[in-house]
Amino acid sequence: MNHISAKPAPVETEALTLMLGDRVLLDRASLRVERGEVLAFTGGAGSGKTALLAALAGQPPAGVDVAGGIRVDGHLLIAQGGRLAPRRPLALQVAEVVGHHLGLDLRLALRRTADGLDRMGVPAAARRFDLPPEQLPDSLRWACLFAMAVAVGPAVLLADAPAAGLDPTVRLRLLHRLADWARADGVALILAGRPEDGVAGPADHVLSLRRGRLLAPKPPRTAPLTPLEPPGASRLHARSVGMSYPLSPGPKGEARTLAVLHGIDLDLRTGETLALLGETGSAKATLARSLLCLPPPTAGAVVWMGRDLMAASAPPATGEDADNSGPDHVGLRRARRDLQPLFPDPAASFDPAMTIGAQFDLALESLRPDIAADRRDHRIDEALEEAGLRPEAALRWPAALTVAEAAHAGLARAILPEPRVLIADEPAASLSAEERETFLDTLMAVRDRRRLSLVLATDRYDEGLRDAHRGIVMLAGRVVESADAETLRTAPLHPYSRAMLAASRGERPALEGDAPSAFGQPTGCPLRRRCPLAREFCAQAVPALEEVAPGHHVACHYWDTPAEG
Amino acid sequence: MAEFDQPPLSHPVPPEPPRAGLARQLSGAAVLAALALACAAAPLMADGSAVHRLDADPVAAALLDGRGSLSFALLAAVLGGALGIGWALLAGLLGNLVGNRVERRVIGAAHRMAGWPLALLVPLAGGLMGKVWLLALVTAMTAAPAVAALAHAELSALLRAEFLTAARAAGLAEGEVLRRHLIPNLTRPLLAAGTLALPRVLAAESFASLLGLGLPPALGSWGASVGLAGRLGDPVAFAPPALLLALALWAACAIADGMAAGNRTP
Amino acid sequence: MPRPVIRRLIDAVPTAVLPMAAGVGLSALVAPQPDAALALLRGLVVTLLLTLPSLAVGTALGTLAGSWAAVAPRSAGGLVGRLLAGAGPLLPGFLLAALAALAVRAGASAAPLAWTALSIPAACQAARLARPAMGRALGSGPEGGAVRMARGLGLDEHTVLRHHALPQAVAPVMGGLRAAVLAAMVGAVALESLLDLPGAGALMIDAARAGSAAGAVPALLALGGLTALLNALGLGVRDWIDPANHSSTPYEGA
Repeated sequence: MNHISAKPAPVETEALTLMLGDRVLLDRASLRVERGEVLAFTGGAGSGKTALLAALAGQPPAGVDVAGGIRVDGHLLIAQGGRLAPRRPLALQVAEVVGHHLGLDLRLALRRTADGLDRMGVPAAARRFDLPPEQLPDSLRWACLFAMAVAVGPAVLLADAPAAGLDPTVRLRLLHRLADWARADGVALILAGRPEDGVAGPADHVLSLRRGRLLAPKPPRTAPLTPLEPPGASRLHARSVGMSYPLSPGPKGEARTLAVLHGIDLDLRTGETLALLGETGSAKATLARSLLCLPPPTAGAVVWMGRDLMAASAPPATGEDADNSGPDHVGLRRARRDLQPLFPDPAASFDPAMTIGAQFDLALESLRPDIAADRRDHRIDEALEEAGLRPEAALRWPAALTVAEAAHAGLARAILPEPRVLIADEPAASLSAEERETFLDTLMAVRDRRRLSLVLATDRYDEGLRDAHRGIVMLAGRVVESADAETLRTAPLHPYSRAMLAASRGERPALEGDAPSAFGQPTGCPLRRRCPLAREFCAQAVPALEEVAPGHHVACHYWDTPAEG
Repeated sequence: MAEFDQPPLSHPVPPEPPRAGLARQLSGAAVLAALALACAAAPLMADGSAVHRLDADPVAAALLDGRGSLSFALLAAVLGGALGIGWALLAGLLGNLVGNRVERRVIGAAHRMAGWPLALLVPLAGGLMGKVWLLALVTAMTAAPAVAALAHAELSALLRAEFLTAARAAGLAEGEVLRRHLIPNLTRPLLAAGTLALPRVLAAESFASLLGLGLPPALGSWGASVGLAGRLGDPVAFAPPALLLALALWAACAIADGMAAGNRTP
Repeated sequence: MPRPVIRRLIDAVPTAVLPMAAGVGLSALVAPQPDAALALLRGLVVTLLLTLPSLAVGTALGTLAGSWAAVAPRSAGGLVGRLLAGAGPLLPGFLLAALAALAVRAGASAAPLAWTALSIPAACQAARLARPAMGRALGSGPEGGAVRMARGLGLDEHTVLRHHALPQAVAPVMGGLRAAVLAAMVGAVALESLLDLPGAGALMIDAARAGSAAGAVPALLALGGLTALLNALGLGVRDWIDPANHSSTPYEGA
């Protein structure tokens, strides 16, 4: 390798400084990236990753001043969001870029891109070149972008938040393939993304951009904040809960439905934390909402402390005035007080026309009529402080809150009526980096102090199981594995759980292709087209959940057989 | 415990963006108010004998005309806005009671009608019917479908809002949700949709009067004066009412656009 | 004619051709004059010739000027674009028609004036929609992603503007064509009546002045059909220049 290192590195910076107005985005950074090296920058929102990458590409954003020396060989920058011209066929755009750099005609450019798609592992059947990018699935769009870069073959590839927004298993598969290409072809690859985006996984070196410095990244917390206490008796039961949505009638006028949740059984004990793990289309959010009966599921039963919530939340017959004095409404209101939700978009869960305090007051008035009106303010202040906000936040309007403040305010609203269960649907989805950690730590502290049961739906496998007693892995509306958290973190058995675990640790997940859409689910096992263990029988029957060890259930026909050749 | 009084360096609080469209809306309202005031005060300017309008100077005559145009536009706009909002609310109610298909049909009719040259109905009504209140009703009807389409879009967007789920999770009954959350949040967007009627009815009435088929001559109208001056080829009589009409149309559009833009959440 | 335009026209047969045919047929049945149906048919052609070219030219020029106003606001073209975008609501078609009538009385010729008077509102509307969309496409928001990506991929500025920014400015203009068609119809009726052109609008207004419902209603029906026809043409053009709306293969044999 001596003949390579004798040449200058394709990326070198000398005391590179980036200023946005009088704010220092990057302070005198000296970088050197060799051929075939993969470097990842991580940092929270607004930390200056995009500005750094754009400056390396020689196109600093408006308002950013660049000082210091930069030398970057022939480069390609994949900008944040991975957007292309939304309305031109992908083939034309790809050919334009490849042809522009290599001087090829359309046919040759497309052939080179097809080779690139092979290296990205996109099957030929999935290639729909003639569609504009906005009609293609996101994963295919990103794969095409990477394939375009492969076809051009630059000396340096800069990728800003590559494959962000994709499911972890799909994202890590693509990123690993891109890194493989960079190492094999001697391309200097620089990835940038949020810490939770997984760009660090395939990289040789990781630098974290914090307060203008490039530092070694902080390893995320892996153990629970405080040792978990053993859970108590079982209070919340869900029995074969199913959810289906009506579709427009079929050609003969027959009613059609789309089932998204198939007969889930679930028990939640006092003080227990249950992680619902799954990616897009796994229906974990639908399950979380079904437990709250918001809206009630279309099949099965949800029972809270012996009371059937579905019967209580059924809408009154038409014409009957919805007075809330009936026994069912009292029961439902009692259950609403005990079961409180956390929403994935906290900012949207506040009424823009009322201050935070007014909304809290309304919720208290409804759920806790036993608290006198003049004591409510005190309770609101307490809840806000416990959730990590100042009491003055009650006077603010929802539009004036930052994303992080809105998330904490959502937590404060949830603990206001002194519930027993929190049902959180991706509560930190809108947060990044330190804010995310802070919020999750606050949530866990609140849970421990109040001995709450917690249902935490998330697509981040490791992070979800870190503070949980038990985990349920969901795929296409079914449970595929359920076990205690320790087992799921160390030795999951289902191929999908293993892939999610690998993706959450930045390793290469052993799944191919993309998740099928809800309308095009394969027969039999929903994973069979991506699964390394799949055999012919998988197409014939949906695997049932079977107990393989005490408290450990797996739904896979071949979980105990190794992958075929 | 997180404290948010001092945001971390990596998260500068972005400067509060000025509310979109507010400036336009305010300037439009100011211009329209000034016009209305000037028109109301016009008889004082036209030295006593305001009845003989042809003898008066063109500016005073145009201001006198403005009284007819503006008051008719205001009346028809209120009527049209109310009709459109009622249409949208009816569609929403039918969707709740009967089914989504009925709602889609009712609002689909509004969308189809909004694509028709409804403004042509106004001169037709002026020529064939002749009564002012009938003319106002027809003018209002020409603006109602567009108002209904926008109001219904706002209504269905609001009905999907997450904070309604949060309110239900707080145990509020449907009636409470309606009173505490829906109605306060609906007022602004529905008003914004209603103001859409103002520029439309003003334009429709001026168009009809321009052709001599709008308001009766006794009421006076900018459109009628512009049309007459255009036919006679009299630029001195043409300019004042045309300018005032253009200004009023611009102001009405600015109010409607500003309301719609300010209402849209970023 | 491009295939998407033909497809849209076929789709529009019931809403466009039927009202026009009904209008002509009705006027043959009920109108007092014997040759009313023929006059209406001729009038429809005149109205179409008046509106279609001015709409097409006005929208195209307005879109370009409005887009240019976002690219180079201080250049001459940019100034025109800003002027058009700002003046939109000040210049409704019927007011310009009255102005044209004034000019014709002063001795100008009618046809070019009529076309100009109709194309200015269309240009204003197009510029008003194109300018902010182009600004967003070139700005730092999420809509600017495509342009940033194209620059990052090393494409030259001309390609970036032509293929990545301009389509984003054209899309809202195409969405707003329906309003432009309505404004053009109203403007055309006013023009025909004020300049004594033998269009369907003038027929309708004359009948309404005479208080004759039998003369006015068929013309109104026919004008509604003509509007639907213009709308269908607009949709067809949108489909044609915007490949997102159809997925035929744009490249051969690759």
